[in-house]
Amino acid sequence: CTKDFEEINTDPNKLEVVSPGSMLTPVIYNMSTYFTEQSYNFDWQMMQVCIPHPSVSNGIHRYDLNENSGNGTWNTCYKWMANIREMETAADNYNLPVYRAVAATLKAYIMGILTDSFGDVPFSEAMKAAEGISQPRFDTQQEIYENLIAQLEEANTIYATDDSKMFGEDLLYSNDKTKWQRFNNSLLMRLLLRMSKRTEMNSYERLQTIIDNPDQYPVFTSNAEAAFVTITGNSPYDYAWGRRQDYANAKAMASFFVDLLNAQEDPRRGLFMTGASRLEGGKPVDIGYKGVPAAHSGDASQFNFNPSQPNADLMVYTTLGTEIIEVMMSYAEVELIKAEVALERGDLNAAKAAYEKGVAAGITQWKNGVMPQGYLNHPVVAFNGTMKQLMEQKYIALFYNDYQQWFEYRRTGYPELPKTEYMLHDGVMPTRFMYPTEIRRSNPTNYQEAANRIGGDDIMTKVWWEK
Amino acid sequence: KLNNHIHLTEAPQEEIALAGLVKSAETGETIPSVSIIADGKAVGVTDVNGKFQVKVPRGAEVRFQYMGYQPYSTRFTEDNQSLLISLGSASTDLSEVVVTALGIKRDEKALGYSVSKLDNKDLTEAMPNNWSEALKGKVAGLNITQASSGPLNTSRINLRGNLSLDPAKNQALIVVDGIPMINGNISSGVDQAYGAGASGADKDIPIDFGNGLGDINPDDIESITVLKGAAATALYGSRAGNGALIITTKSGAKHEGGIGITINSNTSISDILRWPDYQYEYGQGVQNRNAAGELYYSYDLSEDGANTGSTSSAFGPKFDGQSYFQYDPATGAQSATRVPWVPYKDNIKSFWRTGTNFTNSVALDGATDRFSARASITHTKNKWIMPNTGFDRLVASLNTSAQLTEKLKLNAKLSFTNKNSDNLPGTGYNNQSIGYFMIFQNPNVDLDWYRPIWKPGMENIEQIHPFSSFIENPFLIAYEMTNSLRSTNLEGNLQGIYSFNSKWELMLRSGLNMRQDQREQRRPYNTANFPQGYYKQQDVFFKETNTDGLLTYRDKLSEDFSFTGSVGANFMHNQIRTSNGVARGLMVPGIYKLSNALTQAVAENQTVERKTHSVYGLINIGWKDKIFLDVTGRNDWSSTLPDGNNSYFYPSVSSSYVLSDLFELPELISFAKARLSWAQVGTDTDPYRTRSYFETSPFPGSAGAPAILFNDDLKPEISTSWEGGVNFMLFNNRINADVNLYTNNTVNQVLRVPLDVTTGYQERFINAGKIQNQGVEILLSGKPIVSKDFNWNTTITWAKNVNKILTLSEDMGVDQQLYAESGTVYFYATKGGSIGDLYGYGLVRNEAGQVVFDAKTGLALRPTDIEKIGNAYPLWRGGFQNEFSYKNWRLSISIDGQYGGIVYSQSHHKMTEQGKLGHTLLGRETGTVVGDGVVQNADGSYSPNTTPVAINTWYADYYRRANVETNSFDASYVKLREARIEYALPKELCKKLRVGGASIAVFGRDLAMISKFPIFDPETAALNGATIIPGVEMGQMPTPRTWGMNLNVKF
Repeated sequence: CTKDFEEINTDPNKLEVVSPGSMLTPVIYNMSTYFTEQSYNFDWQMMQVCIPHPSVSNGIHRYDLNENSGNGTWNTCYKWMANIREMETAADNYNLPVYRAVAATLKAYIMGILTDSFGDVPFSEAMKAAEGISQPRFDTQQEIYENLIAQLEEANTIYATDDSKMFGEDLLYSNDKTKWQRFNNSLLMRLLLRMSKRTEMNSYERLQTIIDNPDQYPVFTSNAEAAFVTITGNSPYDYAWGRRQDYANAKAMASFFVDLLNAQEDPRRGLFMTGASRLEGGKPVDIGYKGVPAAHSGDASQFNFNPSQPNADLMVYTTLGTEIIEVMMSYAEVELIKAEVALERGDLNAAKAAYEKGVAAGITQWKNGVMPQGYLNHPVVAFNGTMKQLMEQKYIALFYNDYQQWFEYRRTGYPELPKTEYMLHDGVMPTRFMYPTEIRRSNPTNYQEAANRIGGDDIMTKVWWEK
Repeated sequence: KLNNHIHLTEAPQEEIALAGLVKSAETGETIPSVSIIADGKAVGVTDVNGKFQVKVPRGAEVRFQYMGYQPYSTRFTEDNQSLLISLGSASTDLSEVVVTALGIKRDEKALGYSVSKLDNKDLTEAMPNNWSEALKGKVAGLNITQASSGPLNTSRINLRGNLSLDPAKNQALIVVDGIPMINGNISSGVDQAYGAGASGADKDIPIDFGNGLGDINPDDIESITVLKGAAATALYGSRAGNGALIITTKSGAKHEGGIGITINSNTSISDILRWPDYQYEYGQGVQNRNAAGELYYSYDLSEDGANTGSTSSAFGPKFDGQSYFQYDPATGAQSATRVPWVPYKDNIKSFWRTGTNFTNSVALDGATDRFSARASITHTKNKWIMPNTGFDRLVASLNTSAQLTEKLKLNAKLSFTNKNSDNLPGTGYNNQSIGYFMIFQNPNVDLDWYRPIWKPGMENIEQIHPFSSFIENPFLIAYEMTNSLRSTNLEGNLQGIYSFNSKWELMLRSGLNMRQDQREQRRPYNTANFPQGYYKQQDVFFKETNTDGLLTYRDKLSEDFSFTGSVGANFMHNQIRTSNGVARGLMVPGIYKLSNALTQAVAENQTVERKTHSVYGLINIGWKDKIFLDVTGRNDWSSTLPDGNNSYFYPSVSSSYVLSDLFELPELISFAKARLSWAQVGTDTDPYRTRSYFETSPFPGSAGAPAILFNDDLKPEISTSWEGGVNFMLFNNRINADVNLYTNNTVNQVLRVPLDVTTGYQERFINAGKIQNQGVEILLSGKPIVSKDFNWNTTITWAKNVNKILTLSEDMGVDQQLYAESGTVYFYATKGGSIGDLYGYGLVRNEAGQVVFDAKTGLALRPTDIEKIGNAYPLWRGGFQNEFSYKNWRLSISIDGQYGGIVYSQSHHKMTEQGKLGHTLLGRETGTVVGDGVVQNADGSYSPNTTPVAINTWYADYYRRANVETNSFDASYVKLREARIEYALPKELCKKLRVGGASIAVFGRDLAMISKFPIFDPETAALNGATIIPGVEMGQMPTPRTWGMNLNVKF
């Protein structure tokens, strides 16, 4: 009497097998959308781009991080790593090696953010509950970097040599394999540069090899090739914010960022923020762009003006269907990496050329972003051959690019962010998230081992590439 | 005796044949198992239909006797095949016939487990919208949880605590006339009550579209037997593991005039039981001060200062007779001159209206010797307390029974429900709920300013919400953001009973239960979550068929032993299909059609199907009507479990001892009985858990990796329980006491538990845990006053359940397991803890228990980890019912309550953060609050905290959303649940008017409450989609207080 039970207990709604391409778009949309939101929630405060307003006490901009601050980052990255795992399996099942390459590219993108945020994290044993591993070990950051770089190299070869085709839904590149290859190699540059302080890894040399061999290592050469995700706001491609009100209300641009842009009369100011105003004689008077300092005393009465706020038209339109972009990796970043490698080598001409392309790309990547006439000759913008200037431009170019501003600050110490007495930890920038507390319950042994190895599960512990 | 014997031997022994039917004189119902005794010798019993066929000596005294009835004796001298014997009720209701599992009627004294029985009167006297609410306080061990979610207010009925960690489970099975009913609640699509600020595809709120339970017409219910323990429900198997409510509907009875007509009319009005303590002393603002350092207000920028009119907080200036530039509803902008700064104390309350409910029913019934029928039609028109909400419901039912031949009887039943609503309120904490508006409304804002809904000339395009754009216009919520329902329910069964002879009987029955819901959710343009509108159609189809067969053998094994044995089988097939069509964004505002979708409308379908096949058997043995033993066994085969584990057997044994017959007891004890039982129940799981499936993705051509790790070795969950109790009556039955103790252990629970995300899955299915429930149930009833004209009956129920988690999942090697969450409240199962333990952030305290503050900021220190704050379930619950009758007057009063348990209140958090509640008046004069506690000095010692904090910061921080400690409250309460006065027309007058009986009554429900809970009502819960999560309040709506009138006429 149970002969049809097996059939009845087979889900008629969900799939048991999928093609590798079906795994792609959810990863791209969800990663880019989450990290766009996180850039706004976290990176902007840490990096004095924008802060909550009013902000009487605490807050991320005063370096008030707790054990839950990294939970979303952790959960989101691992959640979508599961799609990567399935993509790899399906790539083998369907004999479509190109998706192995795509999986490697996306893995480097995701795991890069994750390890830069936490340090040692589960990797080689992760994603394997079905194989019986419910408490994965934490790999060291060095192991993770070496593994990701090796996979990117292998993927580059697959993109170049394998003739299998991509098909299905691809929100990022519409199945354009050549663009995926450029993204892959651009990420390779990002990862190599991130290890620049670990001299034993020969980052600059390896980067130079990539720069010198564009045929072997094609990278981004224009904004059109960059990893920008176009979002329409039409469901299911919803904007990152459910309510437009959540975007601008109770926020003020931070004066460090606004002043930096004011100094170079940056054409992006109007795209990124609204104007500030002051009440004079009962009437509001436009006072240009003006922010409030991050980590201020908390007394709001010191601000006798309405500060600049984030411009919701950059990310959340009322009219659905209006396209916006979310940044996974920009072309500007690639040029500014090249500029740094050249600067490191002392090749100022190459550095200047790359720098100028990077600055221009960082402006024109935004909708309505127009390069003013002669802008590269602006006294503040004109290339002066210093790391400080290069990194300040990179800081602006990495606006809205997940935590890249924070990672680069931790690597280089630029831009020189002002400290205040209201910051916690004596004004020293936290360098990582604590592991989610839940893992102390679910994977206690491996957690403890990793915490001891990195020097304590603390927000002030430096990760491997930072040491 | 000797003489008799001699006399009989002298004349030749001659037997005559008698046959016929035994019925109750009161109800006209047939009575099974009536003992037939001829000259002191048992000669037979009536069958399940009350029929008998016996041979007795000619002229012998034949006695028909049955517990609870007055025996009837007579002598027969010749054959008679069509006897109709009517038994009158015994004046003392020593024992009762109760309907037990599978619809088997049993003498209560023969039961080895505790049952509670409720009559129609208990349900209809003070009729609530959802009849199940009438059970509150009347049954020891029965707990009803509702999410205060509107007129349909779905009930979660639980008996004897939670056996499972899965909050969607733990509900009692509802059986109507032998057929389990669809009690499934299907989510409207959003599964979190806290949804504010969510992004992604669905940003809506849960809507309570009701479940099937609420659609039963209480006027049709004859009685409800509550089977609490596993021993009572073992025959129902898996689904009744959490107990069962056996509902028997009314059937046709014989009437003098041939037909009985009953008209019942119930009219009630509702207002609101209780309001939170809103403050109306200070208006909108966040401590904004002008150049002179004074608090000021300005709607938009004015010469007084910058705009302070867009905050939702009420930390602004005091209402002190001054004037400010404010909102002018005539222009929709700043007033031309300063206008008086005044509070509008009715600006939340006047949104609500007086609710009305009209329920009218007509029932016709009649019976002949061979045929009986009852038909009823009931119409309910409900206008709920929130404007533009309510429902219409029509229930028509027919119940017939035909004795086709001497041996074959057919019963057929059909019930049809049509329920319509133009709008049911959304629940939870998000822009679309009225609870959200009530939290955000400011004291200086007149409700009438919102009344036009749309800006002139901008109908359907731009709403009037002149203050914070987070707040939707409340009339827009009520009249434009509608959630409509068209629901049709069909339920019927056909039953045939064939009596081969007085010993053998076969019953076959097939029942169908079908429901179709058509739901719609409309969301207009210009709302925070849906700038360009939203429209969703949801069709839900439920179908369940049950086919049963039961073969029964009844006999007297000997003079002393009676025996009944049955074997049966059941085939159950259940299907649920949900089809959604969603337009996320509308091309043309105000038009709600899928064809008006901004981009393509999205279709989503979900089909869930399951089957269970079962065989079962039961044996009842009685010894001298003094000791009874029941043994049952059941084997289920479930489609939801993997091959190899999908067959499982579970037995039960129960026994009853009539102590007052077994032993010589003191005279004051008129009756005493002891019960003891042991039972096991096996439970399967939900479908589709034994294989790996990819998640559906909202993106075209896409899918998600499996989020849940399947388990192809799932085993059935087994719970084992012991139950013992005593029932005794004292002082000639004036006092009846029933005490019951039970313990229940559940093992191999099938749980869907979170898995650490690094493993590549978010959840997995496991068999785990051992959960124990132990408890006491006490029922005390008495008749303190019995006289010709004045009577007083009283009943007290009291129940306590202790839940303990003995072990968690061994294979996961963890001591704590998250199993539910709502907002910032987490429900962790901890070894040694209890289900319902509520975790969250609390305050930091020193060894002396003082709250520790940060010396620099004056704010409470934040703990590094969450901790247990309390438990959602009460320590005990009790009820107290009284009925006084004087001649034709009857007064009944019912009080119930609970002690202990906590509820986290999101409304309290938000209204405190925004300065809306009376307790936030503390510190207004100085503008600061100094927290009551200590600060830690450098040397580790503590000194009193002296750091003042600005009040808006203080309330926002000390009562922050994540602080579960400061926002949770004792959920103890006492409610005056029902009060009713009835006047019955005197019999003589009825005769003159040619009516069988008539009564008129006025009643009230939920009339008063004592509770420390600061918002509307501690009887609340969060509605997470289709799952009711006790212990959490997420923007609740008020509780209605109902006054009504009831008119009943019988012809």
